[in-house]
Parts: sequence; structure tokens; C-alpha cells
Amino acid sequence: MLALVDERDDARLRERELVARAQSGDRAAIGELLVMHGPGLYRSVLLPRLGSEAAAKDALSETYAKVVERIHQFTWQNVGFYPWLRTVALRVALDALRARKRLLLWEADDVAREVDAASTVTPTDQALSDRRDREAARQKVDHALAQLNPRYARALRMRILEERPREEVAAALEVTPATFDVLLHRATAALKKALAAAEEADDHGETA
Amino acid sequence: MARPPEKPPVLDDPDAPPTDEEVALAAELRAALDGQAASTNAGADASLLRALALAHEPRPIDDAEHRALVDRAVATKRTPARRSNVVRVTFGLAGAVAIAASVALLIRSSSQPDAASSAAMAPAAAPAVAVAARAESATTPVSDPSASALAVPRSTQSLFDAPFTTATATARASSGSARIDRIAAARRADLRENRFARWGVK
Repeated sequence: MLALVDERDDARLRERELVARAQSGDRAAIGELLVMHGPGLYRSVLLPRLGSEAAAKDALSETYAKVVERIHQFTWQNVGFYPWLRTVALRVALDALRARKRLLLWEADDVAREVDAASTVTPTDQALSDRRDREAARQKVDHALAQLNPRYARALRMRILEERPREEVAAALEVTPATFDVLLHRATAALKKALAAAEEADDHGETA
Repeated sequence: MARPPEKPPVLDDPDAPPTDEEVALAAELRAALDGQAASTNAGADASLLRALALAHEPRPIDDAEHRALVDRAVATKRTPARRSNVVRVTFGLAGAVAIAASVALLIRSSSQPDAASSAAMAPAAAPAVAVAARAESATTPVSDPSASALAVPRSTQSLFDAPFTTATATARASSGSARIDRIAAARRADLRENRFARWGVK
């Protein structure tokens, strides 16, 4: 246990040194910080919210550019560099969601609330923050599926989330593959309807 | 046999008989999910389903791809926002240097007069003569051995042992000018001799 604490302290100390070097203009140090935290940021924050790998990579690139530009504004906290990096990424994701035209699981308002929370809630280290972000994303998916007819939810879960073959899912649902295609199409339409209703309720809630 | 008019699909009944339109849309969605070309609507639906999957189980980014993103960010220097500041700072510094140089020149010209010219010039004409002599000395070789032979500052009393001429009314009226002329002539001679001395031709 003590060894684990020492190890964490050493890592934190090293990170603080990297931040100090980065703030004095050492680009290699910034690179090390990004290599250290970027993959988790992409997987836990950007990809679930933006819903496509291309959009998430663009947002990650934009986040990095902002970090390089504004690293001097960062003030060291005991939980390290990641909370600040995550807040920068959330702001980039928020801009991307405001500019997007299509329906997604996350709304811009959802991320705006997360940005607000990031400035008020006690920051945590990356491991805990990533776990919470991943759990929140799964809960969002579960909540969306819970709004649907259980048969639609099952079709989506098996075919889309679990990526099981079309024929296997059709057999599990006791329909032909062609009928399953229709079932999946209907499930998608129901999902869109549920998300749109949630968005509308959110808008009404804000204006009320 | 004529088919009865189709009813709109009942989304809440998963097992209701499909319409022809639904069958066509379902085929388009399946093609879009398989990565084939599809209509805009089917493409948007497939994107939503992929987003659902990525939120549930996000995939990690490829290491090489991530490293490329980091390298690009670290190598790129974003300066557009600061360009105007750079211009302002550059002009400010250039202006400050110019002012400092002019002040230094002024102080130097008043505190370190050239020995050759100061010795030769009248007090009123000192700055102009000093500048002229310095400019000249900058383009001509300096001969140190003759420096000791240079005229030194001295009183003008010795110039006026003999009375000024009063032969003409004009001369009388301009007796003050005549004194100045004599001083200036003496200083001119000193200046000329000093230049010769510095050039080593005396």
C-alpha cells in the first residue's frame, strides 16, 4: 500500500516537473504530457460525446493545439495536469456539438453542464475521472435504450453494442434476417424519436 | 388483385407487418451499416448507431496515429493572435533605440568635445564646428604625434592689443562686428592649423 502511494507521488512529481518545463517553453515536455494523457482523453471524453472516430480525432488535435498555445495559463493542482486537459477537451467538444447537424447521444447542453461541473467539482486524477466518464457514457446508452420497446432495445444491444452477426441476432429474436432488418430500422427510428423528445424536454426545462 | 392502401408503420409494435417503404429503408440502413453507399437518411441513422456503440464501448486510439497528432501539435507554433503584438513590440523597441541613440549622441557631443575643433571655435559656434570637425575626422586619418601641437582654448585678450581702425564711419558703426570678425578669423586660423596638424601635414 505504501509502495503504491510512493509510486503515485513519484509519478505526480515527475508530472509536475514536466509541466514546469512545458511552461518554460519545452515542447518535448508538452509532448510527453500529451502522450501520457491523450489516449485516455480520447477514449473516455471525446469519442463517446462526439460519436465518431473522425470527429473525436479532430477534437483531440484541436485540444492539443489549444494546450500548446495556453499551457502557460495552467496552474498546478495536486491532482495533476489531467483535469485541466479534460476541461479544454470538453470545451472543444462543446464547440463541435454546437456546430453539428445530426442527432447524437450527447447534446451540446449536456456537455455545457459538464464544463460547468469541471470548474466547480473537486478535480480527480485521470484514472478515476476516466472511470467516471466511461460509466456515465454507459449509463447514457442504457437510459436511451430504456426508453424503447424492450424488443427494439434487445435488437440494438445485440446487433450494435455487442456487434453480433445479423443472422445470429435474427435467430435469437425468432425472425428471419430480412424481418430483423425491418426490426432494426424501426428500433433506430424509435431511438431517434426518444432522443429528440429528451432534447425537447431539455430545452423546455431550460426555458421554464 | 389490388393491394389495400398501406398504413403508416406502428413504431411501438415491433412485429407489425412492414410496408414496402420500410423494407426499402431497412435495406438502406443495412447497407449503410455495412459501409456501403446509402442515402443521406440511412447514413445518418447508421452514424447514430455507431455513436451508440462508441459511447458504450469506445475504442482506443491507434498509438502511431496518436503520436502523429502529438508531434503535429508540438511542432506547430500558433502565432496569429500574437503577430500584432510582435509588430508593436518591434516598432516600440526600434523607437526606444533610436531615441536612446540620439540622446547618447547629444550627451557625448556636449560632454566630450573634440579637442581639435573645440580649441579652434568660438563659443557661439562650438556645436556646429564640433560636429563638422568630428564628421571630417571620421573620414580622415588621425596622426597622434601632432596632437601635442594643437591649439588650446585661450583668452581672446591677446587679439586686441592694437586699437581697431576708425578710419571710416562704417567701421566705427560696426566696431562690435569687427571685434567678432577678428575673433572668428583667429579661430578659423586655429581650426585650419589644427586640421593640418591632425592630418600630419603641418
